[in-house]
Amino acid sequence: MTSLRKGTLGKRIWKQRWLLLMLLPGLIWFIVFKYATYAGLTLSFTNYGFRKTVSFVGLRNFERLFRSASFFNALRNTLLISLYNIVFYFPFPILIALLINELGSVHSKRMVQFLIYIPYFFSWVVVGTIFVNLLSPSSGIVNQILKNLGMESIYFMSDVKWFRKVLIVSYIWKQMGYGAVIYVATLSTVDPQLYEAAEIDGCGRFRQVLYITLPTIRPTIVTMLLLNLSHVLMIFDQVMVMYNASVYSVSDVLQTYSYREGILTGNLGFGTAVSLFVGVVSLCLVMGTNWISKHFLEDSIL
Amino acid sequence: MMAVNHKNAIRQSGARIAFRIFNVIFLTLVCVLVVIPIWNVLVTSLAEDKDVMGGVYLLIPRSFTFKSYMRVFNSGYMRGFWNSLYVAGIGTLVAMLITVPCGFALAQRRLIGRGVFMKLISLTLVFDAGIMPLYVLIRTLGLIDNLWSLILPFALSTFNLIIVKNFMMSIPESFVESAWLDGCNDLLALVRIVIPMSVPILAAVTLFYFVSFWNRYTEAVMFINNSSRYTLQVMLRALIYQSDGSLGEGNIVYDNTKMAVMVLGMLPVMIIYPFVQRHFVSGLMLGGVKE
Amino acid sequence: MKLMRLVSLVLALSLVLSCLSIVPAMADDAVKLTICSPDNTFGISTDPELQEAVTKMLEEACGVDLEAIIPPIGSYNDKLETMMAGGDIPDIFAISQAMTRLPNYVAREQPMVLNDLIASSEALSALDQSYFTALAIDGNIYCIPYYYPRVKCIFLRKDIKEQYGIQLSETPTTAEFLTEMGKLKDTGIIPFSFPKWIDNFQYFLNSFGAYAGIYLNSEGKYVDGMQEPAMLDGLAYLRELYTSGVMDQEFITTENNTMREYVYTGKAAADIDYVANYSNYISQSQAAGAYSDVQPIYLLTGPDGQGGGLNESIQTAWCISSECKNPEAALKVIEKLVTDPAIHAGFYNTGVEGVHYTIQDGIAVATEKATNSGYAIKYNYITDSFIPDFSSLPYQPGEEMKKALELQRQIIDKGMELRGPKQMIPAGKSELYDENAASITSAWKEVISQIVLGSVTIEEGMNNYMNFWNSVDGDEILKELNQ
Repeated sequence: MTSLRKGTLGKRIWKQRWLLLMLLPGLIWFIVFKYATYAGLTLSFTNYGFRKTVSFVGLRNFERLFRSASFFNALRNTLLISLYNIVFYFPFPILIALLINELGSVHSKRMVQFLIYIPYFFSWVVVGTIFVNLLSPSSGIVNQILKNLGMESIYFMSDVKWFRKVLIVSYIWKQMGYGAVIYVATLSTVDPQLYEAAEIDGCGRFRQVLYITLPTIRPTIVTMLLLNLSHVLMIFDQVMVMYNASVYSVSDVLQTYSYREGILTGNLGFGTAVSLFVGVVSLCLVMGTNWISKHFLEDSIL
Repeated sequence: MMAVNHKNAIRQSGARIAFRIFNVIFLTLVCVLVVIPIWNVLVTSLAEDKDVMGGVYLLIPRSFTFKSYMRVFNSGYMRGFWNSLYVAGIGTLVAMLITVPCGFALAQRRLIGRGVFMKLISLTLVFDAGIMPLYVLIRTLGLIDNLWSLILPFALSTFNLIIVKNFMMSIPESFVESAWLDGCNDLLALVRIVIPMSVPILAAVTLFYFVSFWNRYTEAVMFINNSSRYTLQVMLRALIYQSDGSLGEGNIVYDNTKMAVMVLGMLPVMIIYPFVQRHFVSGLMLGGVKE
Repeated sequence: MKLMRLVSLVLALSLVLSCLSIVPAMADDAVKLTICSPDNTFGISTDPELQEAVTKMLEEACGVDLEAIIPPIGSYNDKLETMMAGGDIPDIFAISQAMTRLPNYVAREQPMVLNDLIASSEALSALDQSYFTALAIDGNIYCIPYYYPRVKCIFLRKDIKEQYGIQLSETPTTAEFLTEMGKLKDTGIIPFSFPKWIDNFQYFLNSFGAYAGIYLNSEGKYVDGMQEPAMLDGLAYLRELYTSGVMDQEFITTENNTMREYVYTGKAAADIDYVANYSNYISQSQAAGAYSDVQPIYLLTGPDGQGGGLNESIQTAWCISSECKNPEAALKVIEKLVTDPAIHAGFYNTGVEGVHYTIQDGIAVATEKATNSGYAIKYNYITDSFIPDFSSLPYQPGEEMKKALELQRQIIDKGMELRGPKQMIPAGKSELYDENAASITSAWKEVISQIVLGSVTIEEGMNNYMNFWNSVDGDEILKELNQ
């Protein structure tokens, strides 16, 4: 023990023993359940699963990847869907949380939160079924409204022009409450005295939001942006349950591509190559966002 | 001067009322849009077979019966229900026990090697080795066909960890330091000071964990062999899709039963939610103490 | 803190449950085997207790200990692939879409060669050997099917047919089908309901001598069906079926069981289904309160007199793992499943007496518990399996069902006779093909569905397809296959 106290590093470690102890379970988890599985990424340089005898194939899987038109299509869709997600979904929960915060009574606040949070409890299979029914040209309510307005009914689920919009709208429908909850929780940390002070200074509600609320939740916004980005690049379940052959060209994402070509045909080496590539793209985007946030918002998230 | 201020106040309150009206209308609209499909699920699940045959979109109830629910209840559903509750209950607890201390430690700027730890952790946000390496790992750990295979690999989410960590970073360090003066170590500081101040975000994260354990499907199929250890989601989905087998085996499952399955699948989460929800907004206010 | 109380409650509850969920381990010396088959077997029920009863029945009949793995049918292939790649190949496993998947498994040396084992089994050697050799690769038999090859035809409700004066024989021409079914336009009835499974379009392509995918043509050369001229005629017809309103306008989001539900309930006049499902239409339309007999349309005769039913060949079959320690015992289990009437009926449908059903006056009646978990007594096994005689069973179908089954037998025979082609490409012949087979399939599915739905013209669709074809070096694939 005395030897530990000698060196300055040892001293610091001893001083932080509780902190490090608290970190330990999480760290062990990361090593066992994340980093150990990363060894599996080396499969991308083999023909694992494709033939009985596993052999090293070098960059062949990647060569095949970069030659395939379907792969580039999947890459484009992944990036586009991520972009739409950031532009259309991302601001929504913030807006909702701010508006909920403006509601007068606690009861209506809870009511609204409760309602918009329900869809988050459904799994994607259920949401998929719900949207197919909702958007059906013959019986769905959306097309009934369109018809009543004298418009042509639209087969949203098979229309290449509409399908991505369906993906985004259903994503908003399911996930908006989830995002809003985090913002609402963060909003509770704003010091009410700040608002009072602003009110005395004659600050309107709008300016209070602008100068007090938003700066307070800014770190959360940036965090969510980053997490959202890494999440949407891994998009799988949603597309898997909602897409069909006629909209592959606009909806096939890297993960569904990897699933069809990898798992379903047992060609795991190739499937892993796609996963590795997704990781690299994701790393670039997430690190880029983190860098931007560090330099322009003076907040580094990671 | 007074008069100007007064005028301002009036103008503002006029705008304020307009905003409030707009706000109420807008949120009501959002709620209606969210609720319509759910309402349809509810109405359909409570309808008689004959009213849902051939796929109709029900918004106005035509019949009211709990037949579909009874059907699902008597289908071995409870076995899966208990398995799911076990996984989600223990899983959430384990997850919180790992996430909260870890998040707290990472939130302390003085932590040795914090930058390295954060980099290592962030990397897991973007790289996912897929299900196969995980399967091999679970197999090596001897957890195949064990419910813990659905708990341990998901006992931490980088996502939730970062949310917790960032929230705790917004708590001024002076609070922790003041706890030291009272003779607390870091662990006690976490329990006595930081956790009570983080109740809203902890409530949210608890719910996230619970829902993610509750809804997990793919891994449950991959890691569990004995069907008596299947979780609710696996059994429910099997019930819906079984009639879709290529041979047309089994009974046709009408929409009312399918919808009842969906409702029952999320009912437990719905029941827990209101208890958790009150903590989202009513957490201890940070503002009570000055920095 | 209410939250804390809640959490501790959940914790306490879970701990109690964990004690309950410990299953006592079995300890005896019998041979242990793992068997993997989707949940549309093991007595067709999602209730684990009922499934266990069927496993026990099988264990007793074969004198082995079985560890049954019964994944949901929708995730069966994922589960099987994961187990294979992870090194946990079950001793006995069922494969689906055998014709497409078997070559793939064989290339990975997963299933065992069964020729000698089959020869050593009296019951299996007594069967028509062509069932086994149909899926043989280089003379090696890898799987044991347990029913006849599958053929699909169109089923047309007779009540709607009469009401609207639709005149269609069992082998009408493509033009007749279009005009006669067109009589249902604006009646609110869907003339022809179709599932989202694009490969079922092959039924119509057969009428034009077209084939989706790579196949061996009459000259013994591998060609790509999408690039053959016949495909254009086939696609034009499919497009017309859709624009004329005969085909369900929402087929691409229609699940297979939804399609059936439409015909059972009379919402649609016709659909496409296995010939062996005929009796289901009788019983299920009755159960839905919209009883009607259905007429099979085995094929549509094309302009050049071509045509054939949808041939799906052997769909499911049993394999034994190449790493199985006890192949003889494993074969014994399969033999029982394939040739023993009581085991076959119990496993593939009716389950165990007293658990799944009770016998009342020689007729089996489903228990309530079983019915709730998706179980229903059907007698399709009587016409499907290789077992000629089920009269030894203590329960028999009712009179009406017997009649329907006799008809079904005839329909199956006729369907088999009029079935179209089905191609199998051996794996391991061309590395490039094996790698790209999945992409090629999804590419033609996409193009065909887009053309039918009208998102692209035939010309645009074909251009897209050719772009894809060149990106995977399609010509090189054909060259390698033809070597």
